Amino acid sequence: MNSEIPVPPVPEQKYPIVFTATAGEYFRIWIVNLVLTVLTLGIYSAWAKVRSKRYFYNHTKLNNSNFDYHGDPIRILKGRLILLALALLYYVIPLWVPELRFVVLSLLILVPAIIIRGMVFAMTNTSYRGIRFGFERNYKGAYSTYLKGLLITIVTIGLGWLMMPFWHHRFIVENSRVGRTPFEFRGKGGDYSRIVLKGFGLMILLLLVGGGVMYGSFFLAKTFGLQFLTTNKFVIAAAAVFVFYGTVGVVYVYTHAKAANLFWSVTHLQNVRFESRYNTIDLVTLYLGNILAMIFTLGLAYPWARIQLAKYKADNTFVIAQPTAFEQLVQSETLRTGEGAAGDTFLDFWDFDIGF
Amino acid sequence: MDSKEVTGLFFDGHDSSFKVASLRLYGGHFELTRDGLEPLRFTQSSVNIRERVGDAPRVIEFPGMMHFETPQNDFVDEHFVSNRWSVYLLEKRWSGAVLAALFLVTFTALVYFFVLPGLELRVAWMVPQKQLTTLSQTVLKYFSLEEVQRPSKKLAESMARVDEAGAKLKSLFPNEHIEILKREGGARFKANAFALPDGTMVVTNELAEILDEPNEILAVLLHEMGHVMFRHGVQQIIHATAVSGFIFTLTGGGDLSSIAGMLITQSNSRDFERQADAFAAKNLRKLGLKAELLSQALRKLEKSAKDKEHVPQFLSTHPLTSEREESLKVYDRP
Repeated sequence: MNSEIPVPPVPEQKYPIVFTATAGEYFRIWIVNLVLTVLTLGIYSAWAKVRSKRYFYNHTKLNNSNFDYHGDPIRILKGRLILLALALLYYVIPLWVPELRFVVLSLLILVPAIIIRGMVFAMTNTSYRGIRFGFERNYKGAYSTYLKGLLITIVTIGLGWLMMPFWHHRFIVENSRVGRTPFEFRGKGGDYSRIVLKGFGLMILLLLVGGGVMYGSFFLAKTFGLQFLTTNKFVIAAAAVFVFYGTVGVVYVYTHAKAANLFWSVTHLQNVRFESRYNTIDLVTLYLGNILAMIFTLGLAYPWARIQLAKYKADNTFVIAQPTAFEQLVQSETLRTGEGAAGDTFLDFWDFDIGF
Repeated sequence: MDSKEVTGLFFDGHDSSFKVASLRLYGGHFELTRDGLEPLRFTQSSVNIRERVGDAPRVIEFPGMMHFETPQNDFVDEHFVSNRWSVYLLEKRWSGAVLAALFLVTFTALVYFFVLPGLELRVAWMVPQKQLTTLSQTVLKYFSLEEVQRPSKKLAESMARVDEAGAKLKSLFPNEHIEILKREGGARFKANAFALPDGTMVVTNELAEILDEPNEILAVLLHEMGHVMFRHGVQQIIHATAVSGFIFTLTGGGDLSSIAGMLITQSNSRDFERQADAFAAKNLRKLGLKAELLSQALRKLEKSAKDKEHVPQFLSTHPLTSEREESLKVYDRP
């Protein structure tokens, strides 16, 4: 028996992500970053990263409040130096001592741990209304997820790879939080593997269609007496490269757009839900425009391209929540007891930026 | 004493609610006022005023993860910041950005044309001989060329010409590792000769049949020897790596870097060809022969290529034959 008067639930609203950065302003930030990076032989790149991240985060708004980035350039620099040292170890030392390659290769066992450290850095340094995101240092979970994935893939002769995106997303979401509130993952493996399978089908279809169109146009060229086209190695190679890379590109965009849409629909934060509406054709057009613009400006259109992409992603991502949800996030306890404004004490030595 | 204040939002760092607040700098302290609450005071040194990034809202951080945000960047710069120098001053105006772009283009061009080649040569010489052997064997295995087998009389004669040229080459460079492999060019390589970084040279029987003069083959081998001696192959690998690495830093990765790297690699191969031509000409002269021999060989190869309607690989990345003949003539002048 329920004697209480039911309280009508506060209706949910759909909040768009609003991106307010402009290409002109970002161009100036980018070019100055570039010049200082070149002048300092790359050292400034860490500071440059912080500036451009801040620019993007501060211009990304949800319910009128922006996100913020708190990464410490010194830590980013340290991460880059460690990765550079590993790369040198891997590529250069075996030139003299080939046997060492296997020793260096065994460092691959560290990959799950590095993923965790990178995620901790990326999440802890992101905030919304002063509340930091976070990531659990769940080593057991990381190793069981990725090693298990690898083993199943080997045992099933590759078939297990279909499940990898599902395992990966689940691991990332279930170990993420904002303030004290953990994210929840409600995805199903079948939905993920279906995307991979559809992508595979799309690839075969596009290759067949592309090959058919190529063959057909060569046939036409021949009948119209344009043999020099059909016998020219460069024309044939260019057409084949176009069909192949075009297919790979479209399939890549398709699977990533579908996976992102699925990812947001199965990620929850208590009562808060998410939605993204990435569309393959829109994205392919966008990428194509970006690539062409960059080619014709010798790379100078890069900032414009980045802004276009970020704007598209923001315009097509939504947060569905009750208006009060935005006021109710609470800072994590461990962060509160940290030493404050420097904002850095709760990261330990091995949490560094690996560029997520 | 400055008592002007700026309005913005205050976040207490405990939860995601915020309050409208105003902030002013007052006698070495920041004072933060909110409606109906006691003002908060912070010493100037405990407060971190974030560097300005474009027109993004300015963040001022206090101890205990509290922060204040205001869109009034200019006010903050004018009243709160004592050290006026900031990267923002460079980003602020288009003139600065254009200047930066010009600087970047000039700097990149200077490095690319004047610093990089010398650096690549040095790095190329640092690669040990052992590594060159491994690299060359990998390439050879990849091409999997058949040994010349058809025992016709004409073929035997052309192979003898290759051996004769090879012997002369070896006597000219007694201290270098030189190995000459006679292989079937087939549909892929046709009339061709190429050198691998460790001094292994491949000559196809198709090439040997066209060049009916042993010294013409010698001239081609000397040209290839030039590539080996200047470590052109290794330099190209290093060049491609350096260029794509540079573009990677600029763009932060992506598919464009590899494409651009490929395109740029093509252009400097022509300089390498000229250098190898000059090397061949000088060494022909040392043997009392004429540089004309190389021109002659090029002409024969080009002619046979035209007859068969294809460009042999030996010529495809090379400068025009007529252009090369012109520069080779210089070496025959008394």
